[in-house]
Amino acid sequence: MSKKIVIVGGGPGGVAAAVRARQLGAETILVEMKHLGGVCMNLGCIPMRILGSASEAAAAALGAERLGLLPLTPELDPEALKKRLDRTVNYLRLGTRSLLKTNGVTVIEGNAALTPSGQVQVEGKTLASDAVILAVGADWAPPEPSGAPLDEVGPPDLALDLTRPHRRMLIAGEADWAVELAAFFSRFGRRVILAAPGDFLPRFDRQIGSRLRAILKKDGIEVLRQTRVGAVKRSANGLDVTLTVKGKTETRAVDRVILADRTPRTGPLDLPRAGIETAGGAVVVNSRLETTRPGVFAIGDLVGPPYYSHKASAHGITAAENAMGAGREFDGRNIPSVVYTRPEAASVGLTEKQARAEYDRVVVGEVPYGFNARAMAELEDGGVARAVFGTRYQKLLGVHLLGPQSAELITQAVMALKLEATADELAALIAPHPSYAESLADAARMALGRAMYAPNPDPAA
Amino acid sequence: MAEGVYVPIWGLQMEEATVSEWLKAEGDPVSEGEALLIIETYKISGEVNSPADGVMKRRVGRVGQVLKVGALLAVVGAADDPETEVERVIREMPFVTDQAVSEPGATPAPATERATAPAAGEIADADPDAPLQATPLARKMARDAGLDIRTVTGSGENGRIFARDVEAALKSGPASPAEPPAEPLAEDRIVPLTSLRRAIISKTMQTVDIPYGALSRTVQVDRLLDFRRELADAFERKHGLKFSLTHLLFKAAAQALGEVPILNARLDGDRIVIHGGKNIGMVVTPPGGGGIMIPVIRNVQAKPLDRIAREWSGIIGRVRSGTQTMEDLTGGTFTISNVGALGIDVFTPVIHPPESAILGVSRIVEAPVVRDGAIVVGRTLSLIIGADHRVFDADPIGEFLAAMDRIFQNPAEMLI
Repeated sequence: MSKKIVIVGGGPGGVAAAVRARQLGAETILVEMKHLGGVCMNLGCIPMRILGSASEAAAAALGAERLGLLPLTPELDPEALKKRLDRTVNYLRLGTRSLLKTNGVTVIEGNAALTPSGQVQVEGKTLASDAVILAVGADWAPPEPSGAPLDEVGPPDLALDLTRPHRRMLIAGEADWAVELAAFFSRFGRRVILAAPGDFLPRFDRQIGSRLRAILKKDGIEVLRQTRVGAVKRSANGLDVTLTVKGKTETRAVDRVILADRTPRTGPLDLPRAGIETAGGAVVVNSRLETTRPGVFAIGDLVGPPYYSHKASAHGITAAENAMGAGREFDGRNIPSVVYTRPEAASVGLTEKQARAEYDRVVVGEVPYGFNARAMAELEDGGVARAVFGTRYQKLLGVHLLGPQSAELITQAVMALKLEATADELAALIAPHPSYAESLADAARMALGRAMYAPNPDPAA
Repeated sequence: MAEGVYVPIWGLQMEEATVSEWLKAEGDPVSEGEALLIIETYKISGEVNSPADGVMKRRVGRVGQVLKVGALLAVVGAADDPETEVERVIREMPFVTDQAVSEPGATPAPATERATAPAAGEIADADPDAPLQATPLARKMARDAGLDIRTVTGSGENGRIFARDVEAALKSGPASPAEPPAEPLAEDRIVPLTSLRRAIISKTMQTVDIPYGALSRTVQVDRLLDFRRELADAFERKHGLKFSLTHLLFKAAAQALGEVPILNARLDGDRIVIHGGKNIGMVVTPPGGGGIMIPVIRNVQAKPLDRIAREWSGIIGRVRSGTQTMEDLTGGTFTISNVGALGIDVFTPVIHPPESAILGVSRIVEAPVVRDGAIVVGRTLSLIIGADHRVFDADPIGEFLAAMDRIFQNPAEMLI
């Protein structure tokens, strides 16, 4: 008799878990309370990429003269863009439904709760199962600002309503899409303040953050670090927002406040009743993604940051395999981070700072795209490729990229880390010419003291 | 219909063979009787031929792999035979679970992995022909720590060896330098066993239970060496062969064995077989070293020195070219081990079972000897008999060595 697995949540984690469970022969039920696809498909990655593609086309048009074209003036057509967004998202939802159907996953719509024995209940009906995978994701963090709730203050959903015009925005949050939202609206003429609670892009090498900050500043975005959002009050001039910037209080006038931080959605499931512990707002799981109640697994945003779709789907596969008895540990070290700005930032592995804390000595190869032929030909020479290595075996520890197509290029680094490459292998890589990948190979050579196209740092320095 | 090609048996003592070279690739057309591959035993190497016309469907044995007699080497069949037909032959072969004796290198990968078809939906096993999979970091760490990467068990997909596996191996191993060593490590070298070394191990281990004794007598060899020197030119002119001490050792031993036949015997269950023929082997090192071989001259007692010289010359030529035959290496009843060239004075020669005696010959040294009541400088060597004391005691050894000594002092006896 086949095992029965119930999955709660139809986002990227839940869908991957369901398909994998079916592949392994389980009878699989997926419970979704609203739309399949989760935040990623409905509000996050995919809508942001749709907006981003428009924003990038606009940026390219704005740069047309530099490239040798007659000037072009791109203009946003909010109705058309919104239509494209809705159509694409709807199409992807249908695709997800069909994916689950062709894999033989039973989809139930409704609100799920857990029984004290760790079984899933939907609308009062208990779904008996051998294992449960919780994949209900994260909520937008509740607004911190005091005062009465205001229509102009809310999560990114609010920003996605392109038809309601606004001129000045404050976007607050550490999440990468706070940066992406800021880049989009700034491209189309909004004045944008981006307020990060801590460092700007903490998952990236400092050099990537500071280069991108300079580029965003040139695009008209004001980036504030170590900034908390306080009271928001309606005024004659729109909204007055009180900010604490590096300990100092100041007030800014804006038309809209977007709060882009997230927190695991632990509330609705009544986890304590089922004996499932949480810590710091996230569900506690072991290395096999099993919660404190045996047989119940939790994945994706629900177990805390990073809030990435690709982490959730990788979790989903491992959790499904473990629900079937595989006993596999999830290796979370090499999950890439990407920010779809122009240019893109991407990173995987340790930052230089983390590496220095963990290893006695590290060596960094850094090749600015000013030394990259493709970047120069395409007027994209503001980027950089950085690779961090240990010194004993020249083990690759992390890669940090800023430049066009970094999200694609970083996958090479993910593979290199997965296969435990060292500087020797990366240095011997034959990258196509001209390409951005060439700089990654040269960064590895620089770590070995023999960069070919970029100047090697003075070893005495 | 596909057919299996199996390790043939070339002699009663043959138990296994090493795959040494493939002559046909998968997909090559083959005809009946055509050579498919070369295998070698510790004695000889030879071709294995196709049992039928068709194409080489699958090479099962791998170069360097040691396989038992009867194990599957290859599958040949018609060009349009389906894969399932090939799999059927592999499944049906004898020794399915135990055909490989050892693998090239030390990688444990049973040769029959392919025989078990993966169940539907499962991920198939790693290709056994695939090279050892280890990440670059794992390789570097192992090299740095002086650890043979092939001894590490991989935890990754298809057994890929990751850094964590090397760390675990170092932690569990006896020597685990936590700190980088100050001096570059002298790396251990892993040498896979050759079939020759394997045969030597097997033979020498058979001697462990033998109640062994070694008895020695120092003999003067001035007259023997003079005899050789005096005859050398004439011998070479007449027979076209160099005349050497080796030939004299064969002949002298055969004559001494004729006088003391019990040294030319073997224990056979509850009886002793005293051989009529003095089939004498001589220990030699094959080209490239790596072990020893013991080619045999049969019925030495009946052969004059020139015949001994001719046969020995033929045997040595074949050993040097690697074309020695089963005949050359089997059937011995007594063995001589001359370690003079190694500068050895004293040693205990190892018996070559099922024989019960071996004659060791040491180096020749100049030594004070008493001749006609005066001390003069003479040349001597030691003759040592290594004996299986189940078969005989000290007396016949003394007699044998005395006979050898007498012949050495009267070498012309060997011409009679």
